[in-house]
Amino acid sequence: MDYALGDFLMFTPEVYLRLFERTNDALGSWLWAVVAVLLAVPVLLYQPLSWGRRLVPVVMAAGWGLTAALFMMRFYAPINWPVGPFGWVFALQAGLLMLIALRAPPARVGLIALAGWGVVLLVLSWVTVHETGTWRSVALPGVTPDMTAAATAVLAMAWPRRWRWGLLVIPLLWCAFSALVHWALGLWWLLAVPVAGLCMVLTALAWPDRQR
Amino acid sequence: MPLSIPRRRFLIGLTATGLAARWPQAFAGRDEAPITRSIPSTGEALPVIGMGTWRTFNVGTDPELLDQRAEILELFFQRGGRVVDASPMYGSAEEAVGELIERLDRRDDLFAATKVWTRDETETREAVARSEALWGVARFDLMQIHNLLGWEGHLATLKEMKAAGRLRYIGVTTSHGRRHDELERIMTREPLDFVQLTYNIADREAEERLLPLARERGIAVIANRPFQGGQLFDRVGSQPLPAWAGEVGAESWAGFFLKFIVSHPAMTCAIPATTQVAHMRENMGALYGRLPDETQRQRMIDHVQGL
Repeated sequence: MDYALGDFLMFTPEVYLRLFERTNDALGSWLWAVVAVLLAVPVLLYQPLSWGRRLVPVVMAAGWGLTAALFMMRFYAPINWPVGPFGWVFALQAGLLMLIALRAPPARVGLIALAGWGVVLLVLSWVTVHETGTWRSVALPGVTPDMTAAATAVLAMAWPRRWRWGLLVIPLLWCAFSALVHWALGLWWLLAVPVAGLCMVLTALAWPDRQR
Repeated sequence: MPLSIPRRRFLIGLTATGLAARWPQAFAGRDEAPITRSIPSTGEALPVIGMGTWRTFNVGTDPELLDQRAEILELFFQRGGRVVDASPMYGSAEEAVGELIERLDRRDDLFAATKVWTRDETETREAVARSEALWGVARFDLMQIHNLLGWEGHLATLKEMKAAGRLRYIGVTTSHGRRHDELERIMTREPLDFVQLTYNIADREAEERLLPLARERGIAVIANRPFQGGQLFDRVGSQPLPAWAGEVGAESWAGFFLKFIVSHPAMTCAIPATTQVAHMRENMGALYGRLPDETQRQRMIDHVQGL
């Protein structure tokens, strides 16, 4: 007899998958506002005016804050105690993004980063739908933690490399934690999301600086 | 449209529901009584099938899942179950059990068992008080020290609380076959009412020293992980029960595994956990009917080893 990784989790896949649906239900029609903001992000990044691009880290900060307050603290932490401290770490990441918003706008991005954003939004968001069979469990960046971390990794490429380390430590830690949880729960499809997030973080850290 | 039910039929239904709740064997489709075992320290009888809550009742505040767990718990009580076991380690399980026990009005049928789970050996009373508030009980029937964590300090306080009438029974727990040597020392030295340990048809290490010691010392035994965390079902897969399963009182694989556990003479109770109403029905089936004898138990072991 020996412990397996799953023995350290105190909840079932059923309860975990319900978190996505419950979070979206709690947002109600505000979910459409989130979708509108997500669609606006690539437009803001592509346009040449710096004030518009400066809004992007503010939007990201709001997403980290919303994820911390709703998904993490309200729904996830009661069933998985390490998530409570992680909720505060997410709030810290929101603060960090606000500081960056004041210091430096992201660079104007090209088609590769926009394609990355499209992959994040369109493919990874629907993995939970595939797992649960209901669109009500769609996982959006700015609402659910894995997607928020993955989207941040893509967007981080719009900043110089020296800034990215500060931006990506927390997404890196979260994606590693979440991958372990999905592994222990045996949610193999859903494991793709934090693993993709980890790949995106590592890619962003290695990606060369853009020529300004 | 208001539902129209003739008064007579309504009263008959209400009476039947009440009878089912109080005399479960009459509604279990059998004429025999539930199998019980006595707690050695007092002689109080307990049904041999209880309910664990590890993973299964940690549902947070999800109203849909709470409703579904209420169905499971109600069926457990209807079929004659009493022992519900939880721990502060199981996330929101204690809170869920407390809410559902109140909703179902089953406090009088409940044998409430939980655990102290903190390294701080001076915090025993606060830990018990927190669990009492979550369960909504005035005192616990059984308070155990989870995985022997800080057991010396906690046990001293639990003994005082029991002597003062604040707890009915006290005990210690282990799982996964860990720390059996230390458990044996505690069982030898301390006046325990209960021990909880891992015992199932595939994990039988406890048979060597702990179960005989429990009999010798008059300690009740609760078996956790009765299905080896679900692995026993993976092992049998879709294979049918052996043709002779009826001879050992088993109508399902769950019943087969549970009957094996509770037929050990040292065993007081097994605590399977489930999230499915159908599985609860199978589990509670093991509370009735015949138990295997020693020869049949060996046959059951041989059969499972041969799968």
